[in-house]
Amino acid sequence: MISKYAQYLPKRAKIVWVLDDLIGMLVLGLALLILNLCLGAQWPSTIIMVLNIMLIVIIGLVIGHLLLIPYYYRFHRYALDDTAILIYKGFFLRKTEAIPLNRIQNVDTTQGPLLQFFHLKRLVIVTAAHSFSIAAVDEQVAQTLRERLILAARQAREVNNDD
Amino acid sequence: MMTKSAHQPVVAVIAEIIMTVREFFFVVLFLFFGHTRSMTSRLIVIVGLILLAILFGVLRWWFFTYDVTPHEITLKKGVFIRKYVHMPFERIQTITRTQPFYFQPFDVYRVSIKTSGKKDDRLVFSALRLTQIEVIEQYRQQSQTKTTESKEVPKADHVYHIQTSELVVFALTSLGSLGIFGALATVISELSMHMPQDLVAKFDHWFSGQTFAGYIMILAVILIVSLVIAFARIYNRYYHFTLTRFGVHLAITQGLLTKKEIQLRLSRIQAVHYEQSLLRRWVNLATINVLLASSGRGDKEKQDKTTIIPVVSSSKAYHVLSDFLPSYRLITPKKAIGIDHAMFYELRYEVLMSLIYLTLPTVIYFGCAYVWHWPTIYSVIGIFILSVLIIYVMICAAVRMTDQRLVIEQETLTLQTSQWLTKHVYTIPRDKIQGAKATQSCFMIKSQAQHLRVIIRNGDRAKMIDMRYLPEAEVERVIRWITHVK
Repeated sequence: MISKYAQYLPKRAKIVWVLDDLIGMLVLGLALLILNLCLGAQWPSTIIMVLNIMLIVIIGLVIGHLLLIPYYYRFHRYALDDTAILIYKGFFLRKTEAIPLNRIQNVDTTQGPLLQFFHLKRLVIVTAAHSFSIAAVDEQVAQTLRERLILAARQAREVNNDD
Repeated sequence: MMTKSAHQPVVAVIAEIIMTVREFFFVVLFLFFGHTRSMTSRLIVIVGLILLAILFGVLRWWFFTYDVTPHEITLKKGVFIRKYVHMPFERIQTITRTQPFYFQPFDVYRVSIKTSGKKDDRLVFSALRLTQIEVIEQYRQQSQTKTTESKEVPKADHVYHIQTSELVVFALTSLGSLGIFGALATVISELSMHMPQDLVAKFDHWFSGQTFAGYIMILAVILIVSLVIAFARIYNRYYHFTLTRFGVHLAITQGLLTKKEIQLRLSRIQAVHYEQSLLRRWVNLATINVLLASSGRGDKEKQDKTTIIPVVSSSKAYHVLSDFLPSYRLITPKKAIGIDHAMFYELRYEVLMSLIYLTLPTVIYFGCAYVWHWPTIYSVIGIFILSVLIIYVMICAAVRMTDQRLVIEQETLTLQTSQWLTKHVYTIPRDKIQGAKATQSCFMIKSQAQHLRVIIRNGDRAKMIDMRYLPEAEVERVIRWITHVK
């Protein structure tokens, strides 16, 4: 059951993912060109063949990912309520992750050049045991989330709650 | 109040020397067995190592000083690069002292202190005298005891000693996996008596030179020797195992040649883990462990869990434990959970997975076998081993589905599952659960089933406990309960 507070990632996230994939394909395509035009004559042909197959398979995977972006976006949602953060992913394989707010130890944000351009942040939420991420949220939302979590962390002081 | 910086007892130099020898061992081995070494140069290498070890040992000991105040321990160490480590007593997770046999005449211990921080260093003392350790332990207990509790060091509330007979049973039943190999060898040798002669002859031919029975004999000898070694190791490790509770603190002592003592605070326990292998299920015995949060960095002994009762009759286990873990609601879950036909779905899943993983290798193998005319006997053996493995996987899956239990009572979640025929029961306080995850493939929507994964902390990593094919509503209820935590 998806929470009624669940919200989509900002629409700009889709553009970032598409650009990410396109840049990846560009790099891989360049590698393919260099491999065949410059190194083709010097390296043994079996190695060239294996590398070609590997590169083409990776490019295929990136294209697959590119085509699936609408699917990922459509079913990737997150919800924040009074007690927990919930993350939803996938339709054919549906995953719901729940983290109690009071168990969160740290919230890290990372922002590459692309995310920076679109005013988005990647949010990494860390508990004592594991971590998980929300791929892209609004800078404003990231700030609000941080403040909420600092508030929650104040209550969760281990020694005070002992026994 | 500041005490004067203190050195470790001089005996610590021995430990430092041994450590240096270990660090340089491979370099020395390389130098020693170099091609053109004469006898004299080898001697020089050995003497050099000993001198170097002594020099480093003394230097390390000299530059390692520590302060103990009622609030924290401060270490200064390092010969070339000075390093300062502060550890407030409040943050200490466990204090472990080990005593290798060469320390026993001097009555000193190696002490390792862990915190709960993931990236923190451990504090390791090569050698400390008992009185010095007691000061540290007393300060830890005081700073981790609330002001309302009495500040005196309390006397032992409950003590559990392992009986020698129990220890022997424990050591014997710990050899589960080896026992299975032993049983397998017996079965094969029995089978070879009754198999058609030409098939046995083929096998004998295949093991060229040795006869089939000869190999079984060699295998048996190896098995017996490894059984004896395994028995001795466990006996040595858990010899005189004692568990003591002082108020809200637990102490564990164990060991014959290397003595070990662990101190921990009850509230640092992440989960109580009841473990019962197939062999112990038959003899109604179980092992009780606790999962602790500790820093893993620089941890040589990668121990997953801390055993608090090595062996106990499964019916009495929780009764014995209740004296040591008074705040825990330890229950034996009875009612099975899971959707209708959960067993069928699980087995179907395992079959599908096996097919997915095995189809490609099988096709490749038979393709190669056809092209290069590999002997058929390989294929027969391969198919036999594969079918045994698949049947084993199916049995494990069936047992897991039968064992699966989930109970929520007050502030405690009890999960029972089994892995490779070993039964595990986890008793987890609500506030120690770090997160939960529900997954559902599109094939499970119609039957309204979900898998549940509960995440807790163990050491410096996450421990995942999986429950399969639960009713959707139940999973939602559990997740709601987990997230509504104080």
